[in-house]
This record gives sequence, C-alpha cells and structure tokens, in this order.
Amino acid sequence: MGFTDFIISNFNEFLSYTGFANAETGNLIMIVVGIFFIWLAIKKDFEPLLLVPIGLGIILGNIPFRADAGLEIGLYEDNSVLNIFYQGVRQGWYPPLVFLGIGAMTDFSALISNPKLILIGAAAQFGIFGAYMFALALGFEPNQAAGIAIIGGADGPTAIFLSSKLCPNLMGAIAVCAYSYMALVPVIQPPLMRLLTTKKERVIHMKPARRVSQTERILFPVIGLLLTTFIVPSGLPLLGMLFFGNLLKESGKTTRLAKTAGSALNDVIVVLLGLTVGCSTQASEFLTMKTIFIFAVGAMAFIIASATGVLFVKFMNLFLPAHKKINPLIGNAGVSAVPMSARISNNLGLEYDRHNFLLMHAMGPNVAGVIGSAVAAGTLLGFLS
Amino acid sequence: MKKSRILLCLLFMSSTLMFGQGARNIKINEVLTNNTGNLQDEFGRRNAWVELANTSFSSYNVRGMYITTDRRVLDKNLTIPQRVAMMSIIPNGDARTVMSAQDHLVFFLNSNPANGTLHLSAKADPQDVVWIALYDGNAIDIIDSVSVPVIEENMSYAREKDGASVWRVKASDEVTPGIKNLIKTDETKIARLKREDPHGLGITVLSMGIVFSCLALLYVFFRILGLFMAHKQAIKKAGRIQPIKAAVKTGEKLAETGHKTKVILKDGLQTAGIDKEIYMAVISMALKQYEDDVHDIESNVITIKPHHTNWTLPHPDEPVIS
Repeated sequence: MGFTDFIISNFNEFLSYTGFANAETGNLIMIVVGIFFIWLAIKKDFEPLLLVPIGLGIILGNIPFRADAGLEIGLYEDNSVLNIFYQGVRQGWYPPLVFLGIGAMTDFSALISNPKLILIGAAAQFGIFGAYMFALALGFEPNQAAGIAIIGGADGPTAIFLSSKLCPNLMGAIAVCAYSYMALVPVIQPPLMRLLTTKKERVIHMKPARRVSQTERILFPVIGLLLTTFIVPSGLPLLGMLFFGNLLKESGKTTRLAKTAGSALNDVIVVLLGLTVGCSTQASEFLTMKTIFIFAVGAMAFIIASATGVLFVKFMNLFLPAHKKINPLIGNAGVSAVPMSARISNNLGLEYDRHNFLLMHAMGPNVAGVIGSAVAAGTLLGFLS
Repeated sequence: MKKSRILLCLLFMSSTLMFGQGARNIKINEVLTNNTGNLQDEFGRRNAWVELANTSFSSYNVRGMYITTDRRVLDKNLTIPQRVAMMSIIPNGDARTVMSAQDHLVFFLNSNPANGTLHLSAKADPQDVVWIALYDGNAIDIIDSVSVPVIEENMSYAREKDGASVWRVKASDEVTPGIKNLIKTDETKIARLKREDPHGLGITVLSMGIVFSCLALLYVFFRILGLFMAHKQAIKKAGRIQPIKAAVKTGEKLAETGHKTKVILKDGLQTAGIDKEIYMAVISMALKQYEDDVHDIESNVITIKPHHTNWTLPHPDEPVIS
C-alpha cells in the first residue's frame, strides 16, 4: 500500500466516525430542540438555571457518532464519562442531593405559623393521581403512568427520582416535560385562578403570620421526618434529605454546612443533573408518540393540580370564620414549583388589591407541596416498584 | 475532654453495631444431610451441604467465618484455639465468598478443604440430629444455628422463605440449593394492578388518603405545638411584667432598709439612717449650682448665626436672595 492509499483509507475511516456521516433526521431535530431550550432560557428567562444545562445536554446527547466504534463516549456506554455522570440520575442520587439543597434554603416558618396551609399542599397532589388515571386511559402501563403522572407534583427532582425507578426509558421525556411546564407556570396558572375565583374572594386579606420560635423551626424537620417516613418509608431518600437540609439551616449551629448544601453543592448537582437529563433525550427514545402523550398528560397534571389547590381553599373557607378565611389565590401554590407559583399568587393578589401581599401566605402551601409531592412519589414507588 | 470521650464511645458503639449488623444478615438457609441423589460437587461426589443466604441488600464477604457441627463449641470456657480446632473456616482469597445482595452460597460438608473453598471438613451424620452453627470471624459470636432432624434421603431442612424464622422439611423435588427457598411464579405486582385496578381509581383513593394522612398529622402536631408555644409565650410575658417587677421592688426596699440600719448602728440615731456621704454630696451639688448660676456681664445684643444643613441649603439653581 502506497502512502497516498494509506492517507485516503485512513481519511475515509475518519470520515466514517464524524457526526456528518452518522447523522439522522432525529438527531438534527433534537439538536434544534436543544437550541430552542437554550433560547427560551436566555432570551425569555424561562428557568435558565435548568433549561441551559438541559438544552446543552440535549445537543450533547444527540451528537451523532459511530456506535460500534467502542469509543466509550456515549451516555449509555459503560465507563464513559457521561455514563458515570448519568449514574447519579440512573441510581437516583442526584434528586435527594437537590432536596438537601432545597431543605437548606427553605424557610418553613409560613407553614408552621399557619399549619392548616399544609392541607392545601396535600390537596394539590390530586394532580398527580388524576394524571395517573388519565395516563392509564391512554394505554400506559401502571408503572409508566405513575412516572408520567408525577409531573403534576411540579417538582423536577421528584419526577426524575420516581421515573428513574419506575420507567427509566421515559425519564428523559418526563424530566424535560416537568421542567418545561414548571417554566410555563406563569402562563398556565393565572387564567385558571381567575376562572375558579370570584372578585370578592381574590381580595380576601389574610392575617399576618405569627412569629415562629427557633424551637418550632428545629422541631419541624425532626417531627416532619418521623411522621412522613414512618408512614411512607419509600420516600426516605427525598424526605430524609429535605428535612436534613432544613435541620442544618435551622439548628443555628451548622450554618456553614447549610450554606454549602444550599449553594455550591446544590449548584454542582443541578449542573450535572440538568446536563445528563438532557443527554438522556436521545432521538430514538424521545421522538416517539409516547413523548407527545407524556406532554399531554403533563399538561393535564398541572391543570388538575392547580385547580384542586384553588378549589380546596374554597372548600376550606366554607368552614372557616370570616376573619380566618384564606385567599383562594394561594391554592395554586400547593403544586410546589417553588417559589414561582407563590410569586404568581402574590402578583395576582396585588393585581386586584395593591395592598394585599400574599407571598408569605402562599409560601406555606408551596413548601407543603414539596413535602406532599415527595410523599406521593414514595407512595407510588411503594405500590408499583 | 468529657465530650470527646463520649463522642469516642458513641463512635465505637456505632461501629460495633454496624459490624454485627452486616454479619447477622448472613443466615443458614437450607441444609441437606442425606445426599444420595441431589447436588454433586465438582468431583461428582454427593456430600451433605449447607446453604448460606445473604438476606440484606448489600454484599458481604463471608471469608474468615466459621461453620461447625460440633456442639462442644458452646462451652464458653474454651480458648479460641480450642474453638477454632472444632470449626471449619471459610477460606480467604476466593471471590465466591463475596455474597452479593440476596445471594446464596452452598458449602459441602463431610468433605476435604483441600478440594476447594466450598469444601468443609465439618461432619454431618445423616442418621443423627445435626446441629449446624455459623460463627463470626472471632470464633466467639454465633451468627446463626439450626438443629436438623433426621430426615429421609435427598430431602432438605429449610426456612419457609429466605431469612424466615419458620423451618420445614422439603421434599426432594422442592429442594433449592443456591437459589431462593420460595420461588414466586404468580403474576407481577404491576400485572395484578393492571387487572384489579385498570382505571387507577383504587390507587388514587389509597394514595391520596396516604398523602392527606401524612400532611394532616403534620398539621395536627404543629397546630397543637403552635397553641402550646403561644400559651408559653403568654405566660412568659405575664411573668416578665408582674411577679418580676414586684420581686425587684421588694429587693430594692430590703436593700434600702438594710443600708439605713447599718448607718444608724454606725453613726447614731440622729442621722435617721442617712449616710454622711449623702450630706457631703448634697452640699457639693448646691455649691456647684451656685457657681454655675453666676452670670457673665451680658452685651444685651441678640445674635442669630445661620446654620445650614443639606435640607436648608439653597438649591444651586435657585436665585440667591441676600
């Protein structure tokens, strides 16, 4: 073989490795989707901390290459770098670490000072189970239906945790769907809230929350952990880390740990989680009819969850004295999506009465929604794993 | 110093507990003492065998543990070398001794350890009741033991299911060396759910009930705690205002009376209990007041000096009126 032949044959082989030689239409579509996510995040400010890593992850996971080359670079190839990162999602240890950060950042005072708001967080979880029935009607298997329905919890880490356990092949689509709808909360919820409330209800002023002592704030994570995990031990990874993070924050002695858990550690995990979830949306798995159904069920889950939250407040008001009535505009916050949905309650409240600040009241059901969705995930895991 | 000692003790206790916990998940799961037509070893021989099961969900290496059929090891007065001489050690250096989660491992009894890791010299007489025990690596702590009755050939004595406390004799066609004692062949959980709850209503009602109960319990607890804390705060507040104030007043009165008594005892009754230093202080203050009240000669001209702050300064664009 002459030198020229050597160069030509090796160059041809090199060409066969390139993305251009291995590209399929699906890959290109997904790359466009990835770019669209990045655009949404940067230009439209839709959950940029999540959509930027997910968007780039989608591009990364859909770069075409020769699968039989054994380069150990793909997400699903053992020992590849991406595969090692992906184990955090696959084995489900990123979501509890994110929950640790959430716990370390969350102030449960609003909930402790007015504990009846906890029940709104419970009611909003009907979105999950309503969507579960809807997914079953669409022909999904019970485990897949549960994985998809958890989108209604409006909690990304919970959705990833449950779907990675119950239906790992749908996890990418479920995670992208969950985060997309969370970014769209300001679009989905306000019309529903207006539809389900009267003008009179929207201007209800709630009593300011009482001051909560440090003892109560320390007791909350300990008691919360015991009560929830004794009933639903399958929710232990999420609930355990959530309450652990909160205890670090409230103990007053571990401020440094709480600070790290809520900032640096949380950021590292969010980067890895977003990137690998994005990578897992490979065209062959993502561009299917199932994904369209997942988005449909996800939308349904969000709508049901927001509506049941608002309606449950109205139901509670039937039994409450006039001076203790709750503004139903905080009902939507029961779907978690912290703190976006609480902010929507506040903004809508101010729209109808510029002196009616609902943010602190809405934070109650909002953080109760986080606990509620983790309990719901644990329950489904117990029934279906 | 005390704190660090307590911490060290706690660490030691927790590490001991963790060690014990790992070993205690290894159970004697099934035993066959009369083997004529059951499991063969790699040399084609049929020996009695004992199956260990790892009932935990983490792997555990059983190397260095002991298996024995000699009841004399129960004598607590024996030295460790004496005990070890009556036991068969599970050898080191074989990957098969690492039992993964829910794994099973079969050891042949009445065999020659030179034949391999899974061959133990412990004796098992099929015509007699056989006591088999598993000991930890220290040859002192007994991990598990069972007395196997005399049973027909090729029948085994096994736990009802892995790790269960109930044992039973299994017929020769039910013997399960190296696998689970109870193999489920019925439909999966998901298939059953699909059949029994096709629309998901049952799961929905149950799950919503569970979620509500969990959060309702939290509500009840923190409602009661809130009331208690509010009550406690009210008591504290009332205490701060009423009894403490009275106590302070009483204390002050007592101190004053005590001081007066002391002065009278020292300087006589005519002082009426007032300290000499107080007289001196009063005279000094009167003199000072007199000195201060002596005025300068006034000019009778009143002068008001303008004092400008940022508020009173004229705006730079405003015309200056002078």
